[in-house]
Amino acid sequence: MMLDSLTLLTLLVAFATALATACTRTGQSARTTATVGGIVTVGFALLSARFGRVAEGLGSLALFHVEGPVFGLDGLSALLFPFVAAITTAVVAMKPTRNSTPQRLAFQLLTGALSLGIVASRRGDVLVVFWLASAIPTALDLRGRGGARMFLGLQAASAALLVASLALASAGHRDPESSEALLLLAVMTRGGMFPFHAWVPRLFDAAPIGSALVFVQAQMGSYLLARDTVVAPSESVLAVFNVFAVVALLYCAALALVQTSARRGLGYLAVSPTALVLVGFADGGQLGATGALLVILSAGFAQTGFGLALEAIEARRGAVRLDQDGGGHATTPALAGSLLVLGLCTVGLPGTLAFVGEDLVFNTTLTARPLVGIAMIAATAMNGATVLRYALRIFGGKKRTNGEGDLILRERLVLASLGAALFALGIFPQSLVAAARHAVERLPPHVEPADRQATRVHPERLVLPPRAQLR
Amino acid sequence: MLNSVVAQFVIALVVAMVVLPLLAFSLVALLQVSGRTPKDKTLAGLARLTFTCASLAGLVAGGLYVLRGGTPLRVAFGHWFSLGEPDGRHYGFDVAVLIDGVSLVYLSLTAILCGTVGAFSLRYMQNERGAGGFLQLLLLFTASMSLLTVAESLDLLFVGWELVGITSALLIAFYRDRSGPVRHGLLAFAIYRVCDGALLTALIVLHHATGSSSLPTEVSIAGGGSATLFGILILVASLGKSAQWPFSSWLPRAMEGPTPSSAIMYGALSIHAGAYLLLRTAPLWESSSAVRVAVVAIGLVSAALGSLVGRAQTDAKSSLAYAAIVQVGLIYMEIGFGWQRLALMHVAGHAILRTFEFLRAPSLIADHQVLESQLGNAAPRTGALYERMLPKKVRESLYVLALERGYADAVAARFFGSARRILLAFDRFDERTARLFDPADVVCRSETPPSIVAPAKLEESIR
Amino acid sequence: MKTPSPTQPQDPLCALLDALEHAAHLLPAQAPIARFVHHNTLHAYEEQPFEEALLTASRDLAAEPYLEEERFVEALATGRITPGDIEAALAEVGTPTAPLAAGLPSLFAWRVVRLTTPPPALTGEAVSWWLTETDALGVIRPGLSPEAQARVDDASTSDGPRHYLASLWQACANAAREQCSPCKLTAFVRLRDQVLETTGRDVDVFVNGFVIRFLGGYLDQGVAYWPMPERDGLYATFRRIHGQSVLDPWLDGLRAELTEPYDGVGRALHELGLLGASPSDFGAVVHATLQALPGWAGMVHQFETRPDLTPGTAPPTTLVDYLALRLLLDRIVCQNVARSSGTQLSLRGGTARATFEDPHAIALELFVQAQLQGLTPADLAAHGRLLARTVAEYDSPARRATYHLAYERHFRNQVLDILAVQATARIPDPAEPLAQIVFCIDEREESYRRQLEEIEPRINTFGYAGHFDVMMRFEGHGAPYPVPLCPPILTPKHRVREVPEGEGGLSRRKRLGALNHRRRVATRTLVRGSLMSLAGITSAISLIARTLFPPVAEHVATALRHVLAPEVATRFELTRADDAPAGADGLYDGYTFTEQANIVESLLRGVGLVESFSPLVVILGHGSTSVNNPHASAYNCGACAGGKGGANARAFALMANAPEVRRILRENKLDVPDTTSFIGACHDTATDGIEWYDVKDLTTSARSTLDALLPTLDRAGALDAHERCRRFTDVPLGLSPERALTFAIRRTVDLAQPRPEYCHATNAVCVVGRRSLTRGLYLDRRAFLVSYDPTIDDEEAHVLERILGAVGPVGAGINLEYYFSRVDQDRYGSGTKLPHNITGLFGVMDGHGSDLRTGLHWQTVELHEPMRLLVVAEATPKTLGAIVARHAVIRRLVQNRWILVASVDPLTGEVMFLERDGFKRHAQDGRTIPQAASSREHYQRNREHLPMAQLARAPFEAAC
Repeated sequence: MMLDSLTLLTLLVAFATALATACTRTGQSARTTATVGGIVTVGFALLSARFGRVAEGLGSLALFHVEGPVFGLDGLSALLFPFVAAITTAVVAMKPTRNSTPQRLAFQLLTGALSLGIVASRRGDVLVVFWLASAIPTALDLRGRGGARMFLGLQAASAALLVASLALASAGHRDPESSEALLLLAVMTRGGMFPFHAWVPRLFDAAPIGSALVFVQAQMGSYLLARDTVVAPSESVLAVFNVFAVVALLYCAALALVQTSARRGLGYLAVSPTALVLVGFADGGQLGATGALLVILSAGFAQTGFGLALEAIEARRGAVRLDQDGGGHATTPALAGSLLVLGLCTVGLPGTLAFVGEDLVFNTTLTARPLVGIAMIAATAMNGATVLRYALRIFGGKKRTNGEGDLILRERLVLASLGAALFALGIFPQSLVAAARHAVERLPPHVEPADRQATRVHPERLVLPPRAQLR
Repeated sequence: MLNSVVAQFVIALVVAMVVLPLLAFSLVALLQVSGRTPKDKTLAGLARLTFTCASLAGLVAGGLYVLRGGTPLRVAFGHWFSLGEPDGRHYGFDVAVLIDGVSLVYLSLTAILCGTVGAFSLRYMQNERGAGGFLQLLLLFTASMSLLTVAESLDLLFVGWELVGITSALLIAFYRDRSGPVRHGLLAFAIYRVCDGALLTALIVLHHATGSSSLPTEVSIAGGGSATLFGILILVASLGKSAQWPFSSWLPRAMEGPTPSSAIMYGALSIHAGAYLLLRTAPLWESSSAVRVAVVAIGLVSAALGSLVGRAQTDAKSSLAYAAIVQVGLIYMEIGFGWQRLALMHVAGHAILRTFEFLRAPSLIADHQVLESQLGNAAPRTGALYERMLPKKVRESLYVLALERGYADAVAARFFGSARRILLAFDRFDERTARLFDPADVVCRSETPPSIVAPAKLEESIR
Repeated sequence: MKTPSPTQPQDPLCALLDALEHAAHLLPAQAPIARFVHHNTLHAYEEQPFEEALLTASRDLAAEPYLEEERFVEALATGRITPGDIEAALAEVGTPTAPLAAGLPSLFAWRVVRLTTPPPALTGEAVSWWLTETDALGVIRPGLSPEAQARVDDASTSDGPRHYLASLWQACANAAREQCSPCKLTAFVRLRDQVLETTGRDVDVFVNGFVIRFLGGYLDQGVAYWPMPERDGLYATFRRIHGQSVLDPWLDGLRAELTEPYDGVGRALHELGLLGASPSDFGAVVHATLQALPGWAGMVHQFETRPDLTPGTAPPTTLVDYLALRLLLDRIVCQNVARSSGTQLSLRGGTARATFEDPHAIALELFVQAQLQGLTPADLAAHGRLLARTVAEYDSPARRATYHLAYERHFRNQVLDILAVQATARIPDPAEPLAQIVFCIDEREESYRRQLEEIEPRINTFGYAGHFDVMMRFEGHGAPYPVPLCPPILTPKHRVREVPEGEGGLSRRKRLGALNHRRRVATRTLVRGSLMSLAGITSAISLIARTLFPPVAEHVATALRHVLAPEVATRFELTRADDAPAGADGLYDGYTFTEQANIVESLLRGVGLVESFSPLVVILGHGSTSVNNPHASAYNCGACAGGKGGANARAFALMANAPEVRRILRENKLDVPDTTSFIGACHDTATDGIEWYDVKDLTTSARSTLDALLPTLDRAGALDAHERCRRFTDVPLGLSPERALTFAIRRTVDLAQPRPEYCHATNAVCVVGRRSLTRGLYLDRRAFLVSYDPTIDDEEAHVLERILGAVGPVGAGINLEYYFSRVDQDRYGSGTKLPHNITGLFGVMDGHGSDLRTGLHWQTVELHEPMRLLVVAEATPKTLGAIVARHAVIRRLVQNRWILVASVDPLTGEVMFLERDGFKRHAQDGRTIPQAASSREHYQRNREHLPMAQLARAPFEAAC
C-alpha cells in the first residue's frame, strides 16, 4: 500500500514542480526549479514504475468505476510513466534563456504532469479529465500565435469522442465495435492522424517548439491506443483504421520531404510514430505490439532530441529554412552532430532503439499485410531522407552564420542524455524488449492472418543446410 | 582438434576486423560527446593503429582460412534481442558470422583496400579542415563493410549495409561548405534508402519463407514464387549501392569528397557491395530463371549504357565512375550466368585496379604529357569508330544521349517535379485548412524584419 | 543567319561588344592549367589604387578584400600586430583626433578601442542569444581604461552594474534600430535572381550543370574517348547538338528556340532585347550572366584569345557565343521553373528584392564600445544616432583595411630595421671566390644561397630572373609541342631545339608510348576493360607499393624506365648564321653570336659580375618535382612561364662559353677570362638535387673545380631541405639534415602528398641590390633577391629600370596571386585541392560539375601572410622617383600602391620608405634586431614564421 502511493507522489511532485516554477520570478531561476523538479519527478517515476505497480495486467477503462485505487501503474503504463517525465524534463532543461519565462515553463511542466496523470489513471472518467486538461496549457501558449482555436477544438472533440466511447463501453452496448471506433477516432485526433493531421504542423509552426514537443511527443494518442488494443483488440475496426494509418504514414512522410520550413517539417515527422504504432498493433499479436511500444519510446526520445536541437539552432539563428544553406558546420560541430545523430535515431539507425522497434513492427506487418509493410518501408525511407536533408541543409553551404556559439554545457547534457538513452537501449535492448512484451502479454502470441497460407512456402520445399555450430 | 583451434582463431580475427574499427570510432565519438574532441594528430595515430591491426587481422584470417581447406565456418554469438513466445517459438535477432569463399574474397579486399587507402588518407588529409571527421567516417566504413561481409544472416547484413550507406552519403557531403556536395550526398542517400527498402522487404520475405534470415551457402529455396520475389527484391536492393541502371546517376555525382573516399567507396568496396549481396544470396534465388534473366539484363543494360555514356565524359572522375559502372555491369552478368568464381575474380581485380586509378586521378595531365612525350606527338584521336560507323544524325543523337547521361536525370526530374508540385499543393491545402478556424491569427514568420530582443523581455530576464 | 551589323556608334551591337569586353576583363585570366602562370588576380583593376580596387572588386565579384577579421584578431593576440601598429595605421589614413561631440571620445580613440578590444563577432539572433546566455548583462566587459572604469562605476548603482548594463543595452538597441533603414530594395539583374526570390529555387543549379557538361565536351582537349562531333563554333554546335532531342522538363521549348536562325551575336541581342535591357544596361546583365560560372567563362575567353596555350587543338570559341547560349538557357529554364511553381515571371525585371538591415550587430558593438569608452545610457540617448552611424560606417571591410595596414607595417618595420643596420655594416663579397653561382630571384632560393654561403663563404651568389634573358620557344627532345620559356607577358622570337645525339631511342619510346596509350584507354572500355580488370589483381602490388612505400616504388619505376626507354644524350641547336631568316611562324631558329653576346652581357652587367671571375660560373635554373599534382607547373619557375628553367640555364652557359661570344664581349669591354667556364644546371626546389648539363664539355680545370664543389652543394641541399622541413607538420622537428632530405624527397614521389613543397608561400619582400646588403641575413625564405650593383650602373640607372621593369610585374604577380588566393579561397583561389577533379586537361573542378577553379589551392597558401610586396632597392630616392616617373608599368604599380617601395642609399645606407606622400626616413624606434649564431640555430624546433635575423658575421668575414 505504501508502494502504490509512489505513483500518486510522483504526480504530486510533477504538479508541485509546475506550481513552484510558476511562482519564480526570473526565467533562469524558473528553469533551474523546473529542471530540478523534473529530475526528481523522473526519479520518482522510475521508482514507481519499478515498485509501484498495482496490477500486472490491465484493467479496462470504465467510467465511474470505483474499485481499486484511482492512480496506479500496470505493465504498460509503467513503461510510459518515466518516459513522459523524462521528455518533459528534457524540454524544460534545454529551454534557451531568451525563451524561458516562468509562465511558459510552468505550462510545459503542467502539460507533462497532466500527461503523467493520463498514464497513471485507472479510471475512465479521471482519464478523460486529464485528457482534456492536458491540451489547455498548450492552447494557452498558442493564443495569439495562430491555430489555437482549431487546436483546442480538435482536442475537445477528441475528449468528447473518448467520453462517448467509454460511455458506450460501460453501458454494455451490444455493439462493442462502435465503442472501439469512437475510441480510435479519439486516438487519431490526438495523434494527428490523417485526416485530422493539419493541427500538428500548425502547432509546431506557431507554438514554442518545447510546448509542441511536450504535447505531441508524450505520445498520449499511441498510449491510449496501446491500452485499448491490449485490453480488447477488435480486428475489424483496426483493419479499417490501418488504412488511415498507412495514408497518414505516406502522406506525412512525403510532405515532410518537401517542406521548406523546418518547424512544419518537424510537425509532419511527428505524425509518423503514431501511425507506425497503429500499424504495429493492427496485427493483434505480441510481436507487433512489442515493437509498437518500443517505437513509442524510441520515437518520443529521438524526436524530442531532434526538436530540441532545432530549438537550440533557432535560438541562435532565428527561423530555420530548409531551402537555403545555413552554414556553420565547422563552427558549431556539436550542434550539427547532435542534429544529425538524433535525426538518424528517429529513422532506425542500426544500434539505436528505433532499429529494434522498427525491426519488430516491420517483421510483423510485412508478414501479415505485405502492402501495409511496403508503405511503411517507403515512409521510413522518405523520413530518412528528410532528416538527412535537415542535417545537411541546415549546416551545409557557404558559411554565412551569425557567429553563434556551439552547444553549451546544459544543452550538451540534455542532448547527450537523450542520445545515450537511445544508444544504450538500442545496443542492449533485451531487458526493455522483455518489459514491453510483458506489458502486452494478454495478446495472443502470434496471429496468423487468414491469407497467410497463400504466400507461405511449403515446408518440405525448404532445404536449409545444417548449421556448423562451433560453440 | 588443431583444425577447430585454427577455426576459432580465424573467427576471432574476423571479429576483430569488425570490432576494432568500431571501437576506435566509438571511443572518438564518446570523447566528442564529452566535449573533449581529440586532436587530429591523436586521431590519426589511433586510426593508423586500427587500420594496421584490422587489415593484418583480415589478411591473416584469409590466409588461415585457405590453409584450413576452405570449408565454410558458421558461428553464432547469441541474440541481440529476442522475443520468446509461449508456444516455444521465438523471434530473435541473431548475431552470427559466416565465412566462406565469397566473404573471404571481400574480406581480403576490405583488408587490403581499407589498409592502403587508410594509410593514403592519413597523409593526404593532413591539416585538412575536418580531417578527424573523415578518418572517423572511414573507420566506421571499415567496420560496417567488414560486418557486411561476414554477416551470417540477412538481418545483420542489413545493419552493415545501412551503415555503409550513411557513411557514404556523409563522405560525399564531406565538403559541406559547398552546396554541390550537400545536394549530391542527399541524392545518393535517397537512392540508398529506396533500395534499402527493397532489402528490408527481401529480409522479411526470407524470414517468411525459411523461418530464419540465415544465409545459406548452398541452394536452399528450390524455385517457386518466393525465390523469384526474393531474388527480384535482392536485385533491386543491390542496384543502389552498385549504381546499376536505372540508379546510376548518383555515382558520377558522388565524386565530391576527397580523392581517397571516392577511391574506396566508388572504385572499390561500396560499388561492389551490390554484387556481394547477389553472390551471398545466390543460393536463395539461383533456382529462379526469371531472376537470373533479370540480373543479366540489368547488367547488360548498365554495361552498355555506361560504356556509351562514359566515353563522352570529360572529367577524370566521372569517366572513372562510368568505367566502374561498366565493369560492375559485367560482374552482374557473370553472376546471372552463374559464373560465380569468375565474378569473384572480376570483383577483386576490378576493385584494386580502379582504386589505384582513382588515387592517381589527379595525375591525368602529367600522364598525358608523359604519353605525348613518349609518342613524340599529340595523342592519337580516339572514338573514330563511331564517326565511321554511324550516320551523322544518329551519331549526334547518340552523343547527346551520352552527354546527358542516358537522360536519367531528365526522366527523374519530370517524375519528381510533378510529385513535388502535387505534394506542395497538399501542403498549401493543409495550411489553409488550419487557417480556416483561425482567420484572424497570423503566424509569426521570418518575413518580418529581425527585431532586437524586446526591452520588456530583457527586463524580465535580468530581474 | 540574322547577324545585325553595326550601323551607328551607339547601337546595341556596339554596346554588347563593349559590355563583353569589359566583363571579360573581370573573368579569371588563367590559362589551361598545364600552363599555370602567376599573375595579379585583379590585373583588370590595376588602374585604381589598391584599397579602392579591392573594394570595387569585392563588390563586382562578391569577394573578400582582406583576410578574415578573426585572423587579424588572432594576430593581435599573438603580437603579430601590436596596438602601436594599429595607432600608426589609423594615423596613416588620417583618422580625425577631435572629439566626435562634447563628452564623447575622438574618432581616433573610438577606433583604436574598437580594433584593439573587438566585441564578439556576432550578428542577427546570435546577439540575443549571447546577451541572454552569457553574463553580458551582468558583468562589465574587461579591458576598461581607469577613466572609463571610473565613469562606469559612477553610473552603476549600489547593487552592481546590472541596472547600468540593462539601460545601456536598451539605449544601444534603440540607437541601432533608428540607424538601420527598415528596408532596402535591390533590383534583379538576372532572371535567376527573380525566380530565386519568388520560388526559392535556384535555376543556376540546373543550368550550370547543363552548361558545364556541354562546355566540357566542347572544349575537351583529350579526356573523352569520344569527343564531341564537329566542333565548329560554340553556339552553332550547341544548336546542332541540343536541337536534337530534349527530354528535360526544364528545357521545354528550347528546341523550338534553337531552330530560329540566330547566330551567337544575334541570339545574345535577341535575349537582351527580351529582357528589356537598353544598351546602357547591357554591361550589368552581361557581367552578372558571365559571373554565374566565372571559371568556365574565363576559360572560354582564354580559348578565344590565346588558343596557342591550349594543350591540344582549340575549337573555334567566342565569349559572345557562350553568353548567347547562357542567356537563352537562363530564360527558358526560368520560364519553366516559374510555370511549374505557378508564379509569374516578368521578363522585364519586375519587382525588386527587399533586404532588411540587421541592427543587432550595431547594437552589440555600441553596447561593448560604450562600456569600454565609459559612456552612460544618457550619452547614448543624447548621441545615439551619431554613434550608431560611426559604428555602421566603420564596417568590416573598413576595419580590415586598417588591420591590414597595421599587419603590413609590423612586418615592414622588421625588414627595414634589419636592412638599415646591415646597410651600414655590410659583409663584402669574398675576395677570391671559389665559384660564382647565378640563381633565380625566386625566394625559395634564398635559403639555399644562405646555407651555401654559411658552409662555404668563398662562394659568391647572384640573383637574376630565372629565364636568364634567354627568351625562347623550346622544343625539347621527345616533347610533343614546343613550350615558351620566358616570362609570360613576352612572346619569344627564337626557337631552340633539343636534338638527340644519334638515333636517340625514339622508336622505342614511340612503341612504349603506343602501348601506354592502349593501356590507358583500355581500362575504361567494356571488353578490354574486363580483361584488364580480371588481371587487375596484379595491380595490388603497385597499389600497395605506391601508397605504403612510395620511395621504393619510385626507385623501381625509374629503373624500369631506364631499361625500357633509356635517357639519351642531347645537344641544343642554339646558333644560327647572321643572315638566316625567320621561319614561317615568325620565329628564328636559334640566336646569332651577337644576340648571344647581348644576352650574356645584359645578365653579367645586370648582376654586377664584371670582374674577378672565378674559374667556374654556374647558371642555376630551377624547377620542381611532384606527383599527383595538377598544379605542378605553378611550382616551377615563374620567369619561364611555368616551365623548368634548366634549358635556359643550359642555353645561357653554352652561349657564354662560345669563343665567338667571348670575343664580342671583350669588344664591349667585358672581359671574361679564358680560364672561366660557365655551366648550366637546374636546381630542384622540392628534392634539393641539382641536374648538371654538358658536364663532358667542361675544361679539365673547370671540371675539377666542379668536382670539388659538388659535396658542398649536396650539403647545402640537405641543409636547405632541413630548413624547409620545419614547415611540414608531418615531418618531426629535430632531424638531422640527411634525414630531412630523405623526408623531402619522399614527398615528391608520394601520391598521397598534397604538399610536395610550399612553393612561393610567405613571399613578402624583394631586395634589389648587392648581395652584401643581404649576405649573412636570415630572411626566412621570404625575399626575392635580385642582384644589382648601383656602382656600375649609369647616371640614370637604366639597369635598375630594366630590372624593376621585369621584377616589379613578375614579383607583384606572384605576390598578389598569393594575396588574393589567400584572402578569398572561394572566389580568387581554388580551395582545397583534395576534391579537385581534372576536366578536359585544361582545368580542375571541385568534385563533380562545379565551376572551374582558378588561382592557387589552399595547400600552397595556408602558410601565406597576405601582404603587398615590399620592394627594397639599393638606390637613392631621387633615382627611384625618376624611374617610377618614366616607366609606365612601374608607375602604375607603385603609385597605386600595389607594391610598396623602400630605398637604401648606396652610399650612406639610409633607408627611406615611400609613404603616400613621398619618401620618408625609416625610424627604428628602439626595436632590437634579432641575432642568431647560425640559420640552423635560429630556425630549428620552430614551425612558425620567424623574425628576420642577423647571423654571426665571423665566418663570412673570414672569406673576404
